[in-house]
Amino acid sequence: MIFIKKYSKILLIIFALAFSFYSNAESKSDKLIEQALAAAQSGNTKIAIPLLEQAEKKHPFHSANSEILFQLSSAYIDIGQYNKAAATLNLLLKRYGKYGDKIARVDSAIIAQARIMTAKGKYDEAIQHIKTFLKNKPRSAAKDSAYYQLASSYIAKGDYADASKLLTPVAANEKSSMHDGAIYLLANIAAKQKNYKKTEKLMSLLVKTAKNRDAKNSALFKLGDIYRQNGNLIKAIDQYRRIKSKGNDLEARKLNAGILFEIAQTYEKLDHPLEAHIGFDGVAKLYADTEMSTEAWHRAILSDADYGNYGRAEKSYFNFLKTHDKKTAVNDVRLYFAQRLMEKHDYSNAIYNLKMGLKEFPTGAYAEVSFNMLGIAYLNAKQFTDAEQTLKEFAKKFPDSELVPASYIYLSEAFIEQKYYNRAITTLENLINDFPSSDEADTAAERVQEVHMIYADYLTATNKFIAAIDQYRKITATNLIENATFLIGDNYMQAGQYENASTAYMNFVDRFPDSELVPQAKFSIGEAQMQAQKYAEAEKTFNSIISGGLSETNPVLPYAQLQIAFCKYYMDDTVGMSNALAKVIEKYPVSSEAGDAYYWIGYLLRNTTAYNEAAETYKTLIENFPNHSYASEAAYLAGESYALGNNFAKSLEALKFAFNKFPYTGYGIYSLVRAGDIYNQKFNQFDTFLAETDKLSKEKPNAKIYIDIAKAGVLMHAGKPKEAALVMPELAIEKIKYNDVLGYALALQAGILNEKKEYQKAAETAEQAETICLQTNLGLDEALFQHARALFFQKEYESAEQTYAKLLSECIIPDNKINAIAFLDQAECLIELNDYDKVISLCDQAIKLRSGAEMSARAVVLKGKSMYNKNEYKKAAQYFKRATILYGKIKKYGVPAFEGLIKSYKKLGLTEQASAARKKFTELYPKVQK
Amino acid sequence: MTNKIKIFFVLAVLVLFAGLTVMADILVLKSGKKYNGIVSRSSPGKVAIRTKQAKMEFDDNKISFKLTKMTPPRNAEKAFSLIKQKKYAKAEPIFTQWLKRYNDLQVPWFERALYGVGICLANEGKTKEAAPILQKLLDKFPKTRYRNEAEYWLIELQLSGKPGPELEKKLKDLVKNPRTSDRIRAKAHQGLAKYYESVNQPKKALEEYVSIIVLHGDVDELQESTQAKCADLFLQAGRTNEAAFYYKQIIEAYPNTDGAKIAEKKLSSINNVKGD
Repeated sequence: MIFIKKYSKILLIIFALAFSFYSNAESKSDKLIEQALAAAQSGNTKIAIPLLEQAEKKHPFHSANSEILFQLSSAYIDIGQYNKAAATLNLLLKRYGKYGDKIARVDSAIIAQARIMTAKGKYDEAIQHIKTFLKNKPRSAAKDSAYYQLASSYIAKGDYADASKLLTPVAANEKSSMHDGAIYLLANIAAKQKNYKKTEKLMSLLVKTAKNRDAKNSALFKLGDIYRQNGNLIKAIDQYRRIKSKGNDLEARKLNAGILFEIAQTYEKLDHPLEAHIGFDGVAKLYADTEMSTEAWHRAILSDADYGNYGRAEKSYFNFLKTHDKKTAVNDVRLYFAQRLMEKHDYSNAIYNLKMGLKEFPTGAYAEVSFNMLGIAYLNAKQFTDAEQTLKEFAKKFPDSELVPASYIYLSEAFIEQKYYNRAITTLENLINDFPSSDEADTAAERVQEVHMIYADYLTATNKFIAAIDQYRKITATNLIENATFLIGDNYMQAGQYENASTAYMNFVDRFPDSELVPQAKFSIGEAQMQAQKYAEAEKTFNSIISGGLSETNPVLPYAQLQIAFCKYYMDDTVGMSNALAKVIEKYPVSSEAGDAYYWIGYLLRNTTAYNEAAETYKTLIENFPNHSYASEAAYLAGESYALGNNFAKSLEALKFAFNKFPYTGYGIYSLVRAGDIYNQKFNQFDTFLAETDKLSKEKPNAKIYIDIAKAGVLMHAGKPKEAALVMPELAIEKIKYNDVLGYALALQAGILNEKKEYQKAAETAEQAETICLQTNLGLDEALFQHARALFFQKEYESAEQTYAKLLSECIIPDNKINAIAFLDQAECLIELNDYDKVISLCDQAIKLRSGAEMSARAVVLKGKSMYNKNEYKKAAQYFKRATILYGKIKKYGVPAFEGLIKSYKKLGLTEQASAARKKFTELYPKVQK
Repeated sequence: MTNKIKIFFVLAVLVLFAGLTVMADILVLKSGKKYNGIVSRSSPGKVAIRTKQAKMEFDDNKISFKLTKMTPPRNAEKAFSLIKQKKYAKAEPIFTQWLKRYNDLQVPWFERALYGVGICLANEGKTKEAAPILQKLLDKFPKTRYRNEAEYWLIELQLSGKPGPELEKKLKDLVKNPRTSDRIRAKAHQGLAKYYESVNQPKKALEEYVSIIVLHGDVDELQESTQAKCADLFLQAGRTNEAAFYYKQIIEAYPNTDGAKIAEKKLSSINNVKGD
């Protein structure tokens, strides 16, 4: 036996080896115990407890029995069955207590007893229990576990300092089995003390070092909660999404589904629709057996729509309807889609979804809202007929719906948008009558008033002034009536009913004496009186405004004073006008109207041929109001006034000044043109002008293009269209930035085209110029002239005649020769149109301009032609004879004059005179005989 | 030597002999007949056993591989330990020996050999050789405990080649399959994302990356790179709200890394644009 003892170790190894090879099959007891322990390990108490109970009952003598009892007691504690837990621990200690040194669970059981005491609130008892244990077993392997429990009891008691003291060394020992737990408890303490930084630090450490999934999960969960409490959702969600239970039983799946659902919801709140969709979809697909999968599927569809993937969302929705029993769970999907689509102004798809939703759930909980929204969607899509029909049908189908009154409002808005104001008003009035106590009725009452106002404004804009007044008169709302009453006056003014306008404004002043619009109303009364040609009354009104006690800075005052000047003018009281204008300057020297006054004083002086004074007045205007709207024109007029006073040297100086001061304006360019004309016509110094413009171009390189335009204009006037074309190529026009210059430049371009005989292009260019010049009030004469000429050369006499007539009646043509051409061209057009009445007068006006023999010759010949065509041969013969005598040698007019004379004599039967004329004609023009 | 001692030694020798006899392979036929000896693959579909008496050959379909026992290799512990230590070059020849020894037999050691060789080759970057070995492991042992690891590596290996629609289908199947583990599903999402990126479908790629973030946040090794991808792809799609969110997460979760520095730059460019 001694030997056996001696070799027992070898034998044990040999037997163990043999046993390990032979033994394959596991015993039934092992299997049950293994299952029970695995269930306990998973933390699923529902499954674990019956298995552990069974294992204890069937195999109480199994070597793992102490573990079974310990796990069973732990499971009981977990579900709050403390008495059962205590009894189980007592049993464990009874059976194995005496083997405490060999069986680890004995110490664990003693410690677990303290856990029960703590759970029951017996903190001191628990603390004492552990302390006794530690005293009795200072070298126990479960010492750290005891510290952990002791610390837990302290924490439960609220004694964080003692707890921390116990936990810190355990947490520092990475080899300790309670390392993770100690860190977790320390983090808990820090969190309870609101030391979140410390908590975060500890939990982050735990996440990194956690030895098992459960520890890691709970660390992540805790850390996520800390971040969430601190409002850091970004970091919180980064923790939560890492949590996952590793089991695949229903409980674990429920947990995972729940976490994922929460994550998806958080992403939804953060406006991350893709993540929310994937989260919800994950719950629906990966955890389809859990309760929340239906709602998750629903939310996955909605969040997919949020992400903008309506196609996939709809597909998933169809799939749900096809496969799922709880179809009503998704009855709001279409409405949700529609709402989102409407937010994106995608009304056609919103309409599609609403229609589909009503089809799929015609009586569903959302049918009413969907129906109403369909009407609104139609409105937004501007499908007004469908909108009207739908909203009316909605009101019929859901008469008790709270949405019906609002639908009347929407409908009326649709009518307003279509400018069906009367229908809008009727709809709103119906709402007021049908739902008098609804909130919408009040809104409608307000809106009706606004619609009257909108309608009236619309009527005013479309020149239906009297109809507009009818609408304004229907307005009673306190916030609108003041404006409406004022606008009645305005509409009478625009309708030309000045007496009524005056009365309306007076009515306004009476009703709203404190209104800010009173001065304006009074002013308008004056204007209405002026329009009614009651100048004396108007003057009185304006005077009453001036003496009415308004603040001296009120802008109406200088304007009223200016209007007094015009009243005087219309009453042919030029002295009175002059005095009134002087008063404007005296009383309101810095007002813009003072600038106007200088302008009109200049005008009066020019009319009285006081050209130098006029020029000086214009110069004062420029000096005092360099930015006045009349400034550039005044600069030009100063030059023109000197020219009218035959002071050409000063004129040149003033015109050049005008260009230098306003080089980029139409009047600036025009001044340069006039300067060129004067150089050419009065001083015969065309070259000097060209040299000066070249110099100017060098001084002002940015203005070169404008200088060139002016040069071209002068060349045109000088009858040098080819040179003009060279100076101003077509491309140059594209570089012109300013409209008033552009109009004039285009007019010149048309002239160049006329000279090139490109009449159609010239007409088009001139027409374009005309439009611009009309807006800028500059260069219109040139534009009309070139337009008329282009038409004339194209033999479009009627249009040409009308354009010449417009030119001559609306424009002052400073160049006499051009003026004469215009008269004669118009006369020629009339002859071509067999309209002879005005011809003589037009020709006489041309002759009066004394613009050279050629013009006069053409005028006399045209007179003859006109008389001849009117069968007044005697008068025709007189004109033709005069023409042959005075201008016979100018071939262009001499030839037709002789021919007309011969024909006239023949018509009169004066054959001898005819022969004599023919003889003379032959002598002068031997090669032109017919 | 006393009788007792003699008896003891006889007993000991008997036990040892019995043990050694057990250490030989045991081939079990479906008929229940057992043979002790050395089992090997003789030709495709046929297994040979060399007993003391003779060499016999059986068709595969006559053998119960479940009951057949193969002697374990002597260096089993060492081989797996080398893998743990990531010493793949040293481990590979050992597992290759096993491959020869258990050649194509439906037994656990062949399964382990396939796994060992596959993993070593994959880690050594020998993609072309590793992939068929791992695929064979999955085909031969569909319920293998190494399935996850093998699938994971197969995705990685296939992506390093030229991924095409076939891989897309395979990965989609993996994602759909409820039995696929989380880690493999996450890897499959990554595979799909990379594939979609390679065929210029950034929107689809983004959805796959987001799936990793939302559904598989517990797969640690994929998080940082996936967050960076999400941020970039969201930015590319013009969704700056989401892009900024991910850049912030990267900065906070991985401070002082190169990724965090890049994220900071991109975040500031987003903020500048917003500020404009």
